[in-house]
Amino acid sequence: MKTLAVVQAPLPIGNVVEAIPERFRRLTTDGIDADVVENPVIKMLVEESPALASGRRCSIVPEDEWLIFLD
Amino acid sequence: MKIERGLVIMRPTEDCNLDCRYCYSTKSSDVVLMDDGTLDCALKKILGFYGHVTFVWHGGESTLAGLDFFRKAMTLQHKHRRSGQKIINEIQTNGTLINAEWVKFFKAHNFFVGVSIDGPKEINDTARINRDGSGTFDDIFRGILLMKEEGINVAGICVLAKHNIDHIGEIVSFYEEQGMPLNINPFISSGKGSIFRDELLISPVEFSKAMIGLFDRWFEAPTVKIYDFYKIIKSFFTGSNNICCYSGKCSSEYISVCPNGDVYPCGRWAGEKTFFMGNLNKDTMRKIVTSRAATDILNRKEFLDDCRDCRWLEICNGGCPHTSYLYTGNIYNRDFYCMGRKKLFSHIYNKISSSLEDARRATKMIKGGG
Repeated sequence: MKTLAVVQAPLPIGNVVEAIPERFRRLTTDGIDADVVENPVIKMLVEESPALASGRRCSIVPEDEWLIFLD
Repeated sequence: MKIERGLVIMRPTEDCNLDCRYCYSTKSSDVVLMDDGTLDCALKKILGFYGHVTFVWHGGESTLAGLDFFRKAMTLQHKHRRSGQKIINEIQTNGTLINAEWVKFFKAHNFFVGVSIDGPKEINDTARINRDGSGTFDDIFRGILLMKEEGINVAGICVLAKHNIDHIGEIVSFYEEQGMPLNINPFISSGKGSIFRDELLISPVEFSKAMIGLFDRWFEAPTVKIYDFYKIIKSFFTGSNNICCYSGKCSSEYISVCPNGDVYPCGRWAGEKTFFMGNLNKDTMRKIVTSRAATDILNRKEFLDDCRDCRWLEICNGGCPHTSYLYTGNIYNRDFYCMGRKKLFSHIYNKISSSLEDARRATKMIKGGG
C-alpha cells in the first residue's frame, strides 16, 4: 500500500504554507429567472433548482437512478 | 452500526444464455444458483442493516434463476422488511427471456427494468450475440416491447467500445425513438471482454471525444434521458456523485452478493479473493462492511497521489477502484478512463457554468431595465 506522500519545498521555519488544491466551484441557479432562459437543459435546472438543492425528486435528481453497471 | 441507504447487487446466478464479446463477468464459484437458505439469510441481514435498500438483481442473466426464485425473494423481502423501510427492486437483464409472466411479475412488484441493448440491430448484433454467433436484437427488442406495452419502466445500458463508438449518435437516436432512458458504460477489459481487448478497447481520449460530442447534441435538445449527463450535472451542484464508480462508497453503500453468499464491493470484483469481504451465510453485515477489503476501498481516496490536486476529486473520488486494479494491479492508481473523464467533466462544467452566467446577466438586465 502506498503511504501519503508529503512533498514540500523547504520553507523558512515559522512560515510554512500548505498548498490548497484548486477544486471546482459549486454551481447554483441563484439570480436566474427561468423566463429569460432559452436552453432546455438550463431551463430545467432553473425550474427545478429548489428540488436540486434539497435532493428531492426532480428530473435532474431522478428517483430512478439505477442501471449503473455493465452487462 | 447502520448505513442509511444501500444498493445491493444480487447475483442469483452467474450463468448467462448469451455470449456477448465484451462481457466483463466472471464466475466467482461453482455455485450456479443461489439457494433458498442463502437468499433468506442474505435478505434478512441486508434489510436488518441498511435503512433503505435498492436491490439490483443482476447476473449473469438473472432471469435464468426463474420466476419462482424471484417470487420467493419478494416473500422474504416482505418478511424481513422493517417498519418504514423503503425497498426498491431493479433488474438488469438481457431481455431475451422476458415473457408475459415476467411482465406480470415486474408490474406487480414495481420493478425497474434495465435492458442491455446497443442500439439498432446492425450495431447491437456485432457484439451482443448468442452462443451460436447469431444476433440477439430481435429477442431483446421483443422483450422490451412486451414490457413497454404493459407500462413497465424500462431503461437501457449501452456498452461503448471500439466496434460501436463511431455509431454513438445512431445508438442514442435509437433510444430516443424508443423513448428509453440510457446509461453509457465504457468497455472494461475483464472476463470474456479481455479476450477481445484489442478489438474492443477504447482510449480515454476516444471515450471523452465521443461523450463530449454527444453532450453537445443533447445539451441543445435533451430529448432522451442520458443518466451519465444528469448525474454529472447534478454533482456540480451538490458536490457528490452517486454513480457507483465516482461515489467512493463501494463496499459500504454498494455491495454485491454472489450466488453462494460471498460479498464483494461490486459485481466486477466477484471471485477476486483479494477483495472478498465476507459471506452472508456466516458473517454479519457489520463484519462484512468493516472487512479489510472494504476499508481499503473506502480509504482509497486518501492514498491517491495522482488525484490529490485534481479539480474534480470531490465528485470523482478517484473513479472506479476495480478499473484501477484491473489495468494497473493497484487500486491506489487512478481509473483507466481518468483523463477522458476529466475532459468530459471540464467540458460539461464550462458549458453549464457559462450558460448560467449568461442567464444571470440576462435576468439582471431585464430586472434592471424594469
